[in-house]
Formats: sequence, C-alpha cells, structure tokens
Amino acid sequence: MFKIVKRKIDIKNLSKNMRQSTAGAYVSFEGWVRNHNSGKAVKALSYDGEESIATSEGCKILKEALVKYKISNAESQHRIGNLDVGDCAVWIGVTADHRCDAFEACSYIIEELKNRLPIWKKEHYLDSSAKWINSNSIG
Amino acid sequence: MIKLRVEYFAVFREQSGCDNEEILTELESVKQVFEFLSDKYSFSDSIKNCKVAINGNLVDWDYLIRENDTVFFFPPVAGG
Repeated sequence: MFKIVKRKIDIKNLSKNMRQSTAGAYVSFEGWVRNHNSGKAVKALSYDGEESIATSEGCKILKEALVKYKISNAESQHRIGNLDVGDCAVWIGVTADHRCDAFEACSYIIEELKNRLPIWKKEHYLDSSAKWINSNSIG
Repeated sequence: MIKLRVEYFAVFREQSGCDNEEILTELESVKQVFEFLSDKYSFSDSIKNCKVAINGNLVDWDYLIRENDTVFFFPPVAGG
C-alpha cells in the first residue's frame, strides 16, 4: 500500500511490519532531506501534493512492481508538509525470495514515484532564498 | 459559457495568487484554458512539462471541458 503522510514516517514500525517468514530479502530506501543542493546550503524543504491522485498513482506503481518483479510485498510512504534537514521524505520497503529482485523493484519504485506523483518540492536556503525544484520559476 | 473550478498547486499557486478559483469561459479544450491562464498569470512552466487532471483523473490536453469540471494544473513534479 502507498500512503501520503503529513507527520514523521515511522520507519521502525514499517520495517517491522515487512517481516515475513517466506522472504529471504528485505530492501528499503529512505529519501532524506540533505543540507545542500547545486552548491547552495539548504535549511529546509516544503512539499506540496495533490493527495488523491498521488495516492492512487503510488498504489498503481507498487502494483506494477509486484507484476514486473518476483517480489512478495512492496510498501511506501511519502511525506508532505515542512521537513527539516535529516528528515525522511520518502520510504520504500520491498521483500522477495532473493535480493536481486528486491533491489531492482525498489529502484523501479523510487524512479516512478519521482516521475509520476503530483508532489512538488520547494527548497529553502540558508541565505533566505527559496526555489521550486524542476520548475523554471526564478527563486 | 462553461463554468469551471480550477485548482493550483506549488509554483502555480504562488503565481496565480490563489488556491483555486471559478472561471466562466467559452474556450473548448483544457489546453486552451491552460494557455489562457498561463498568459494571465505568467506561469513559469510550459505546457509540455505540465500535467492536467479533470475531476481527480489525469487526462490529455485535448480533453474538451464540460460544465462544472474541476481542473488541476500540475507544474513539473519533484517528489522523492
């Protein structure tokens, strides 16, 4: 299942829930807010999103991964709102019999989430300027 | 005249100065509506990098608008 959340992603609990006796591999991905981008010092990020389409598109991507790769489960959460440096913005968990399938599926999911979800990221810099990422707007 | 509700996100929200608005138009396609609003608000991103949804579903730009449609204009996405 894919979920949009407005609070801290509970990675510990999500990881625990991925456990299954039939799985030989568990691969996870955490996307963190880093303190720099394109040579500028970043102090925070704010994410905007259209929750309904983002949720249905996210669920569609997880289902695609389950069909495309030999995996037993795929879960993901994306956080929106205001995030600080070090916060987790996106989490993905994949289980499979074998690690190769889990790694490949996890990589597929993050690429598709980044390209398809109606979610937008604004970087706030230490020099007080800000910029919407991927937009042609002048910060 | 067709009545539409238009919702803006991210950079388009800032450039239009509102979350949403109702418009009355004689335009036919959602592409024409985008171009009209892009001109009005000087949107920073061109149609080729944007997406559009009608009543909660992504559609093509040649979609013909109908009375009381809700339109979402999505600037270039940047999740993750």
